[in-house]
Amino acid sequence: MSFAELQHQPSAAAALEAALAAERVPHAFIFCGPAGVGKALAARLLARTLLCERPKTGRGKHPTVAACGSCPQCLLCDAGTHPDLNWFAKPADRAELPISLVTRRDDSPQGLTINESVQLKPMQAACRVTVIEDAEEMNASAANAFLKTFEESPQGSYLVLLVTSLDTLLPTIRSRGQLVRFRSLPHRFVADLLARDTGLGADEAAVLARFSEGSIQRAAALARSDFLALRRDVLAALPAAGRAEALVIADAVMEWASRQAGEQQTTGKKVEENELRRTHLKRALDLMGSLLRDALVAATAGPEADLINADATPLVQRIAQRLAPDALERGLRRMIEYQTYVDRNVHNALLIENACLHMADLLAPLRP
Amino acid sequence: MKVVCDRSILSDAFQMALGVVNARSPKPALQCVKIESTKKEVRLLATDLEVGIRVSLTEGMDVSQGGEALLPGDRVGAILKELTSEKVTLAVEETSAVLETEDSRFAIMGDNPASFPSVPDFGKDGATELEAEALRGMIRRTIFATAREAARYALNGVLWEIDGKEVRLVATDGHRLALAKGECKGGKSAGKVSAIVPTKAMQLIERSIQDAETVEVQIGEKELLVKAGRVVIYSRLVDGHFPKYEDVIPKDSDKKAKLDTAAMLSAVRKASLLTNEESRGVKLTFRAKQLVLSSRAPEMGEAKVTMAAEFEGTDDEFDVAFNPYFLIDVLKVVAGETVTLQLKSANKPGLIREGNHYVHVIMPVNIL
Amino acid sequence: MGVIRKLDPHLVNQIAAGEVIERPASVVKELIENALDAEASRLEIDVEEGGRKLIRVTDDGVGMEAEDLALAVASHATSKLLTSDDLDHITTFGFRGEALPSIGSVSQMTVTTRRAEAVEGHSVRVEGGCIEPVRVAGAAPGTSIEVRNLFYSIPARRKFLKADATELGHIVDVVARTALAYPQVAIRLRHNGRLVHDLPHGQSLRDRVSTFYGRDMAESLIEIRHDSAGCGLWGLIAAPSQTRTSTRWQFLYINGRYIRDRSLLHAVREAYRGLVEINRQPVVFLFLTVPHDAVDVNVHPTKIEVRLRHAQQVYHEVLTTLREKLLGTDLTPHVGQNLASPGGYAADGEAGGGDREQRIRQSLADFLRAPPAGSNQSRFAYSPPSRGTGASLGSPSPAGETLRRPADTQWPDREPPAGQSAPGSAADRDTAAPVARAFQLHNTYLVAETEDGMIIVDQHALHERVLYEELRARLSAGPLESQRLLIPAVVDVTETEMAFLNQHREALARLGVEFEAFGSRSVGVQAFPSMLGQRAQPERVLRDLLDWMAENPVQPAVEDLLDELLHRMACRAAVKAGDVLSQDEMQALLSHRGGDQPSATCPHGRPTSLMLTRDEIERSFKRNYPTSRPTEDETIPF
Repeated sequence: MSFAELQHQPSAAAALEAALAAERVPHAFIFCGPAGVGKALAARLLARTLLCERPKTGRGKHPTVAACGSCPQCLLCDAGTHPDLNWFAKPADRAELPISLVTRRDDSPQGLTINESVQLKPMQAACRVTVIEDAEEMNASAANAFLKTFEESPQGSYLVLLVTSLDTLLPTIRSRGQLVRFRSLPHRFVADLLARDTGLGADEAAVLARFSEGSIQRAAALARSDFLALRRDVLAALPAAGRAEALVIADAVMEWASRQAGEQQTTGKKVEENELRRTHLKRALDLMGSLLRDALVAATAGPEADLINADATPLVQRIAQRLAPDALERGLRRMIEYQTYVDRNVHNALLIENACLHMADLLAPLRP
Repeated sequence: MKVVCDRSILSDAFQMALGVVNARSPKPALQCVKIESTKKEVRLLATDLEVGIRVSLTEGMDVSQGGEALLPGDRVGAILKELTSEKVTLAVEETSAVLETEDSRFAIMGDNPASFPSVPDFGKDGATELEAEALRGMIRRTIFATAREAARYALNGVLWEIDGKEVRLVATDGHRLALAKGECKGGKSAGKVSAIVPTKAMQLIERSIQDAETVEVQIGEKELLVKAGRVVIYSRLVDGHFPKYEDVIPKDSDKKAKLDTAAMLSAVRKASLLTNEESRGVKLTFRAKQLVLSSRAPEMGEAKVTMAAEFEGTDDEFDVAFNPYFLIDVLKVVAGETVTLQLKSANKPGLIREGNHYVHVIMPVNIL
Repeated sequence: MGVIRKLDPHLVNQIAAGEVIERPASVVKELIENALDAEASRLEIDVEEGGRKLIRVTDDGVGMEAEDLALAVASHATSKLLTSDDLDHITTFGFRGEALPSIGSVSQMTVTTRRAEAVEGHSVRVEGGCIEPVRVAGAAPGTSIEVRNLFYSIPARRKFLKADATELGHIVDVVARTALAYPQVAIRLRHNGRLVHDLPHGQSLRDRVSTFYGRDMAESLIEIRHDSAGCGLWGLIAAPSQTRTSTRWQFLYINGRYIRDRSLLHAVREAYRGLVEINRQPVVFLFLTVPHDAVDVNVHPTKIEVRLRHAQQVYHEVLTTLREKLLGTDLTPHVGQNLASPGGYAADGEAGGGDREQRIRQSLADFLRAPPAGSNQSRFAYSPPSRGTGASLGSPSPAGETLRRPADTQWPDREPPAGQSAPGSAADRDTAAPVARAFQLHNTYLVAETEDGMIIVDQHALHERVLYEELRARLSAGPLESQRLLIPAVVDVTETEMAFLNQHREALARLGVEFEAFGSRSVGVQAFPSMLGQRAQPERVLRDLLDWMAENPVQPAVEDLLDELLHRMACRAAVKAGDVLSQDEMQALLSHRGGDQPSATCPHGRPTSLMLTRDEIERSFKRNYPTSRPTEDETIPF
């Protein structure tokens, strides 16, 4: 099985497997799903099989094709130097995937551009594969420059676009690519991986996994960001917080997000740092929203409820008892709405302040 | 591997290879130059995934043990340049390569040679032999007519056609077309083959064959190889369709002017001095024995340049306008003393011929 | 059709502003609106420390009874104060009647009021949302609302307030907008006890404009008026010679309420199209009256955006009324002679709408056909079309190195002899733009020293503007020169698009675009403007145009189409952000920057350049003193 490594994505694996086995591989795939659930891995596995000189076919009820792992193509793939597998992504210090990566311009980096990768005949293998991460982040000019190439990509030139959402793809691209959906990974799987790779305790890994929305990437980012400490503080302070304390919590959240952004940025550019800060703020809003979500679930599903904050069940129960479901729901909606405002660049400090004030007001019935 | 090398020969060859290396490749193995040696020769290989180079050294190389190594290009290049000794010993020990002279020793961490894509070599059969200078001329007379960022990717390259004894290079950007023909000196005829070669490779070939007398050319399924002496240039090919160039070369031009190349170039240059970007065209007015070039730019002035010309095909005065830079481009690369300009009407393409080996088509400008 | 639809930053700001309490000016606005609702004829506005310490609005309106007063400051949610719903009212100003509780919850507010016929007044204090009992108080008839220490309870919010001067500026803007709409109301504004504006009763709009924006402006304004069923339009508009660099001087009011509306602002811009330089904005004060049920003001909490039921009709009303007035008035002696004489439009109202439209079209067409104006009074004065500028950026040949003309011929220095140019003329201003050494920032901006500071130029925006002007000037002299294509550029089209192209074949030909149908669903471009050279791909330009057409709700007129294409060509052909420019290219581009306008704009209205004067720089480095810079042996007077 070429996709054995791709865990917990049975439908994606089956779709790719079937296309390979039937030798009916479309010229363009769109892998759509949350970040960090295996899209890039799947793309690598797909490419490896396509490029392999001696793929092994397995007969049976579900025919399979797998790369041999020993031919020169496979060796190059495994070394990450296969000239016919080209990988493109939005640069960390840019807000968009620029046109200079799509077509050759004065400011293009050395090496192939996306269009060249697609349009040049393969160098070693019988075909070539171009993978574009963050494909939905192409700006308008980049997308236009890419469109012709995409529409008229030659035989034996495969494109794999990795996206987290289809909304911003050009309609032409969306309609002509074969869509493969990737879904969130089970929490337990994420927790196990996290515990294995980071040395976190099983309990802590489980908490992070529940906040990861089934994304290994997001879980790892949370582990890196000291999210557990923030959560500890917020869970301790929020239920007792009046409006004044809420503002203190807001400051703490801002401080956390800014510090994490400062520490994690790699390019020294503001664009990246701001992006990182916004990401962290969204996680903080997740955190506050998760309490309301849990209370809502607990109120409706009872003791069987699968809680995000399973380790804080008493608090969740208290919230569920004191607050009406419609208040919880409104509050939750609000937290989600604030997340969209974060992306729209509404003044971050004010937003978080508002969110914390709102939470404090909402949770007022908990206070004596 | 162990080789005692003539330092300057190795250094020169290394510099040549370095010219192709992408020093900023995200794949470290591709920032390297690969060295292979057999009993008979030492080979240096480099590629940036679009073009590649293979330099074979026999002279000045004393191979005591064959083998291969993948070495960081810029470092080794700098070391070889800096050394002053006549000989240098190159040996591979485990993961590092050692460069040694009487007074210096460099142990350089290398990469795994298996992770380097192989640069295709000259096949056994089907090579066509050309005079190096003739090929350079053909390249110079076509390369300027390629498009730069055409939506139709194939126009960004030069079409090669080898048809029996004839070699043709064709380039067009949609406004003009250049076709240069050459004759094979020898070698085996491979029937009719064609390929579209990126401009970058054409420039590299033109530079690299300067000192050679004859070159061998081989067009394969996926690559173009040009061999001049100890150097083989490899280029990937554009996977696309080149427009049917025969169709756009007019065959019904009934008016013909014979022009002195140098005089025409000078006249066009003069007339172009009073054109600007909004009024680009230079009008050519033909009379029986005379050609008048005129240009006019609003608020700038008018120019009129007269030269002698043989014009036949009609007794009436005949007007046609061209972008002077297109004319200058072609007149600059023509080698012969005279060219002929064939015309049909003011909105039909003009055809410039130099003997039987060069044809250039230019679309006129509408002057109103 | 961008892949990424980033929200328009303007919109984002509005969301931000609407979602949270913004600044003292918002309070002033609410208080003034309350006073006007109470039929006040005099407003006293006192502000201290930019409004952060005190805002007091006193009116002579009808005043309130004690019970009304209690109701006015208590939101209907008093009983459940500080529930989630209430938070909304604190963070976003509600609508009429709900402003006072909101303000009271974030400040120390005192409302004192007396009805004219009552013997005594009443007063109530609200502090941080806590309402004290209503007390009897002595007061003049009317209402006085005092707001102290705004945001005192939310220090985090307080620190986002800007400097006093900035906050005061916003307050003055709010006051001015009201003063213009209610010229009959007396308004007095004081800051820290100092009188800022004192506007007497019964003034006219013109008086008020004069007060706020100067007498020259006020006197040059032309009155317009047009009433039709469902929409009345009245106002003052400035002559095309009176322009500004931003749209801030475009005041639109619907039923007395100040609004910003993209579509109406667009109508204004369209009306002035071709009459004002491209980087300038007209000045208008327009008052629209529409039936109250035809406008929804509650679209946005700040009430500055509205939704009109018959937006299309109002758009046309504004466009045609203004356009007609502008073309019919002999405003500007230097506008081309081919314009119809003023008398031609004197008889208003009799002609049917179609007829009027016909005349406007005709005059537009004439305008486009008019020969380029003389050298001293060019219509696009700041950018003499003769320069082969920018367009020569980039080599005409793809094999750049083989064909780049030598620097000195590529960028000829063609400054006219000093004696030839009249002062203030295009050439004069052109030479006045000093071009010192320039360098490129991020391959996107050019930075150069000027006589009194420095300038930062957006290379794409500036080049685009220069090209646009050149194209436009060229077009007025005749069709554009076009380069025929050897291999047609093929564009797939829908049937509607095909019909559109066929319908506008002639207009496109004037621009140098020729095409042929290839079957029913695609066209091949056969010729393309030669000045675009190879910097613009015919397929893209045509595709963009068709998309624009599809987005346009109304079939564009031929002039709109031409203008749109000019914009697109200029945009496509201009150097892009990220293009590396040589020193010569930078110099050439900068030499075309007209005058010293700090915010000249590209055809899309984005600014092309930013000026930083030496004064500003020195102030930033604290090298300067507030009034005048002392010479070295002078002591600083205290």
